[in-house]
Amino acid sequence: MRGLATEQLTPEDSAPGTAVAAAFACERMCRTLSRTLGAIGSRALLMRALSQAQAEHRALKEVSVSAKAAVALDGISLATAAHGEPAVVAGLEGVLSALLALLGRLIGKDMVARLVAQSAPLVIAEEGDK
Amino acid sequence: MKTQKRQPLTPALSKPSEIRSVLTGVPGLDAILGGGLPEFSCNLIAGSPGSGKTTLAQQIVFANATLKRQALYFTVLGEPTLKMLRYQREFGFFDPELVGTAIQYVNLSEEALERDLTAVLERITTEVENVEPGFVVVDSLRSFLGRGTEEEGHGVMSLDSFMQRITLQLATWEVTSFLLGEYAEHERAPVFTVADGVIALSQVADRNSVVRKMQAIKMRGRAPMPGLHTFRITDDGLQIFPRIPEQQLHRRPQGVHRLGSGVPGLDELMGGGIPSGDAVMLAGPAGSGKTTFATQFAAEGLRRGESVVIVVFEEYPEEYLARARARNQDMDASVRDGKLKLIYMRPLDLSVDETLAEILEAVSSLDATRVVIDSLSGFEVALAPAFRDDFRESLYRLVGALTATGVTIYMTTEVVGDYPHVRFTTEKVSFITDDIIVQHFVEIDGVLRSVLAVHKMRGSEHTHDFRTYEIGANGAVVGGALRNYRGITTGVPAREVATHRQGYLGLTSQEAAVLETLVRLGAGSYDLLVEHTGLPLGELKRVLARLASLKYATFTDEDGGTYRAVAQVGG
Repeated sequence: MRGLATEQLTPEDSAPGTAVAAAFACERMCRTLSRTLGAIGSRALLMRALSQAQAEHRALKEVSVSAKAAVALDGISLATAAHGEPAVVAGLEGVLSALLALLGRLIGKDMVARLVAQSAPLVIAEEGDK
Repeated sequence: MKTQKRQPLTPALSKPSEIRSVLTGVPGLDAILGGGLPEFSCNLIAGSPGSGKTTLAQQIVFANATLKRQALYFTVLGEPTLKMLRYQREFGFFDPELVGTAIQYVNLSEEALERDLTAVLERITTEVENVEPGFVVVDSLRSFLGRGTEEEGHGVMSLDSFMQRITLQLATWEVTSFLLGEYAEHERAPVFTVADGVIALSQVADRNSVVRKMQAIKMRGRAPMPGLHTFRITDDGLQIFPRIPEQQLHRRPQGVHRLGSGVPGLDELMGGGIPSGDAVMLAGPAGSGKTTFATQFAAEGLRRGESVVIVVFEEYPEEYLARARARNQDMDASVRDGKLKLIYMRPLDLSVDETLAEILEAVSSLDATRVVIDSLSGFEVALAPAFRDDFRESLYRLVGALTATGVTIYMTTEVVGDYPHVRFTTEKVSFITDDIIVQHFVEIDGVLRSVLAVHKMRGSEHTHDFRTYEIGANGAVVGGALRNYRGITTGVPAREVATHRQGYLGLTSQEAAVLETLVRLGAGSYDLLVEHTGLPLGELKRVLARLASLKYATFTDEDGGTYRAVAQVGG
């Protein structure tokens, strides 16, 4: 599960190690899951995961799930300015881990891995089309 | 886009057909559907919430989806996909390995909630064209149909239009599809017309039991089995119990040999034994030894190397075996050797079809020749209330299906009431059986004795004697005939006088009849005897005078003339 999260944290089209890239990875994971769980379902998961990660990462205090888009994180720039990029990246990594752990507890780690593997290429292709 | 060629499915089961069949993988369902689902058919699975629609669809998909013939499972509104996966994976048929590979779940909630039916159809179309699945499920149709508009206009698709389009699309995509919808039992929406197959699921709560039923309302290109079929949702998914088991459709010819009953003396009454393939009913009051007789019937079969199935409702199998051991009928080894199977059924919400399915499975797996059902009274109580109300029909189907397999059935049932007004607790079921043996308690000389008689043997000779029987350390043994008693059916029979046994030597039948009356009354005046014999006084006097001359009767002057039977006088 940890490996899966790390893999998602290195999107090809973002500079690795930046907070923007980490946030993008979280959002992409949710879009990936949206195919199976629906946008509402994956947004609910992201909110729960963020809430859990915020308890351990003060750097995520300013981060929230966007009210406008179904699966997007707001406040990344604000958090980076306040706490520094490394702390925010660590926090967002915590979000991703929490999200996958939560999903694993609900439907089993084996199925999570398969769902991500199944949907990720389709999402990446869609992003490419845009 | 995949370019691989579609793989042929299983051949049709029922008859030669151009349309191939998709076997559902749901026990009992293919028989009801007339040999599986037609390939590329569009099927509606209708039912109320909780009736098992999603589980049925998942079970079919997991039985059929492969990497080459994938399944697309669209979820719309209602049960969140997360919850559905969480709970469905508890079933035995659910294989996590197939999720995301052979079976892909796609959620349409965004299209349904924030857009319209056109968007829903577009998304389904895009996904199907991308994946090229062999199976498509939309779960559930009703939830997003409720969001559509009744009238088409301004680019908004109507419900009817959506239904027409999606069913057309499904047909041209060459997929076998399932539309799940919440429809009431008697509701007939337009989708019922356009769908190729309609499977309706329902559940009815009656007192403390819930009975689930399935009906194949429609199945184009197939001859589905009519009627309502009960089903149960188990850890392995749905298990359906067809009303007419496959075995009954292909009745095995009955043999002509007779089976030993295992009770010494009983076969003699039954013309040499129980005709194989018969349904025997042993009726008797509580404590008359019905279970002992049934156990001996089973043990006799085992002793002859046959396989036996015993269905018990009133005691646990361990208790049943212990009781048999106490009668020197040790059946434990037969259980271990797979020659005997005890089926214990006592859940109080059984359907007759479920009971039948379990017995048939046991008969088939053991290749059994004898089945004991102990007892019908217990069976009736174990049934869900809805089936108890129609017990005769239930039993008719049970016996019919079992005898069709060629097994000999030995059923026990309790009788209530006083002879001759005895009735079976499962009254009006005697017509179902071939042979009926009735046990009875009688009082003879102040002692309670057990007697039995064979009341009926269909198409076979049998004796009509009442026989005593005793149950000892080694089980039941049938004794001699009760020929010297009259009024056995009253429960308090009277011993007949010796003259009767001697055949009324030298008497005409009229004289014998008068003597019998005299014996029964003990003594009688002319008036009393005229009343009981119906003879004119002159004729009666002539007969009585002859009986007296032959020493069968004596005359005294009391009450103007009284006759007594000699045997009575002699006491």
